[in-house]
Amino acid sequence: MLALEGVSYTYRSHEGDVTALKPLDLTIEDGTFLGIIGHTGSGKSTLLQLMCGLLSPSSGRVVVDGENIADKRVRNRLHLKIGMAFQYPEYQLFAPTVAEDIAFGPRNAGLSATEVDKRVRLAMERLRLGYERFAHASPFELSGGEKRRAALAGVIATDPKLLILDEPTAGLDPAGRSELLGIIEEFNRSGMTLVMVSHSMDDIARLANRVLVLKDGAAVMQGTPTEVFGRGDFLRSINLGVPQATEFAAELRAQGFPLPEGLLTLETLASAIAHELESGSVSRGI
Amino acid sequence: MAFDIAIGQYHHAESVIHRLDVRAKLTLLFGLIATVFLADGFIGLGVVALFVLIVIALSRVPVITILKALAPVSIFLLFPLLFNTFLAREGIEVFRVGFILITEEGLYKAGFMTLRLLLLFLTAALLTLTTSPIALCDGMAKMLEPFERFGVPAFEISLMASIALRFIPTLLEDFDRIRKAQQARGAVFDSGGVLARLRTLVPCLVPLFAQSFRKAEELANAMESRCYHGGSNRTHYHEFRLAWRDAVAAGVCLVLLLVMVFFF
Ligand SMILES: Nc1ncnc2c1ncn2[C@@H]1O[C@H](COP(=O)(O)OP(=O)(O)OP(=O)(O)O)[C@@H](O)[C@H]1O
Ligand SMILES: [Mg+2]
Repeated sequence: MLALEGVSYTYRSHEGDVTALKPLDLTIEDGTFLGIIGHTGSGKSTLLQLMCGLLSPSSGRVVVDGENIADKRVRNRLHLKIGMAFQYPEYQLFAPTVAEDIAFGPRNAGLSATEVDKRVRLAMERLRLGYERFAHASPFELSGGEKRRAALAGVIATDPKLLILDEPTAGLDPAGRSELLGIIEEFNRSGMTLVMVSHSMDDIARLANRVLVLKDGAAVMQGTPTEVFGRGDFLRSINLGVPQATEFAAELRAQGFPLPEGLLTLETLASAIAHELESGSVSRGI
Repeated sequence: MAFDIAIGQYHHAESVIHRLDVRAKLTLLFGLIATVFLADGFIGLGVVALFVLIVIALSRVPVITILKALAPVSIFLLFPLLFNTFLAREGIEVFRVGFILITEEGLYKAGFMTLRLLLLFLTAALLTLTTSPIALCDGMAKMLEPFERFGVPAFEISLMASIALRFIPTLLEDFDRIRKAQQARGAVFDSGGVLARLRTLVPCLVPLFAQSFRKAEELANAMESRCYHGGSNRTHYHEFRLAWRDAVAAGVCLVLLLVMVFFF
């Protein structure tokens, strides 16, 4: 379990101080999939870096499984519990081969060679990278989507309980995006806690079971996706939106087509429409 | 940012000195350096110091900023001060305890050398404080232009230097991000011997180079797609035009030089 208690962060520089995150309380229970949304510059990346100890809070404390990560000994072991992938994680690939790059984390954890090899194979399997094909390829020769998955394999190779992802699907094509989201969904289903920042409301609606909304460094809303996306007007007022399915349902409702609230994904929308059509209440004229 | 550095410590302000043409400022710098070396007594140095103080006042750079700019080099002031004070063996004795001997001549020399060095540092600091690195770069290239005839690629030098300057913050940012990403995978950077530390840098430097090459290529493509090509017929976005104040600056500098040559 990860808890933030009154955590804030201020960047200090020559040009002046920027408060990127105002005091925030947040608890992430094990197994949760937390989606974080917010406009550009709202402090999402800053929050993620605070969660995994890459930034030290200006005030407040971050507690992981009851231990304050300000303690250096706790922080040094933190990467075994928490995996973090930055935006465009493929830019961190460095080793001559994919397998060696993925082995970086487990090796830093001091695991034995056989254990490292086992972890590498498992991580590649979870990211759907065929071992025969990719293990000995240079990471610089892969396609964009493959690079992204290789980098993420390097992040989960230490088998973290909590995985933090900063816009994992940015810059991928629809197929790559959908595949990666499927992989991430599997992580969560297998018991991994997830925190994901995304500008795509559809992705958040599809995967998350908690949503945190940031605006100018402050948490302005926290709740289930249904609660959060039920307030479309508010979200639009802070430069965000609602999932396409929710938007579409609202349009239909405005045209007099009866649909329930809280439709977040294309699947639920489609079955709600089908149900409505079958039950015959809107058969007139369509 | 983790690597918060002030390149050239440029301090922006609206002042005559800031508005001077870079070439005039460079001339002034070299002129002042020459006068500092020409002065062979405290009175001479005093005149130069007075002039430097006037320039500081005109430049509107806060004294505290100037002191901060001098702080890193202040150690170099200490050397001539200590050496001359304690190592001089000639001259009238002022003070003696055991093997420590301080002479009048030593004190005089220490004071003179230190003041001279201080003035040199001050003038150099004033130049970088009142001129942005880009402008400095352009100005130097402009002064190299007459040498293009002899094969000096002044334009290319200027372009390279300004691109390098432009990308320093980007590189630092990239490095910071990569370092954090590897740290999240358990890399430790602040322990072990020199060799161990160098080895831990590999996972950061390889991606940094890869990114830099990619960025260089992107920049080249962007420039080419806008039909960029170098060469002598290009005009500058910032035109260099000498104004009366530049002439005044050069004139004042010349007078100062002559005064120094003939009177001190
Ligand atoms: N290294 C830094 N130094 C100074 N200010 C910073 C730094 N990094 C971020 N900031 C500022 O902090 C604020 C929050 O930035 P952050 O990167 O957390 O936003 P974000 O929500 O991740 O934005 P985006 O959606 O664009 O990724 C912004 O105003 C930004 O300008
Ligand atoms: Mg961000």
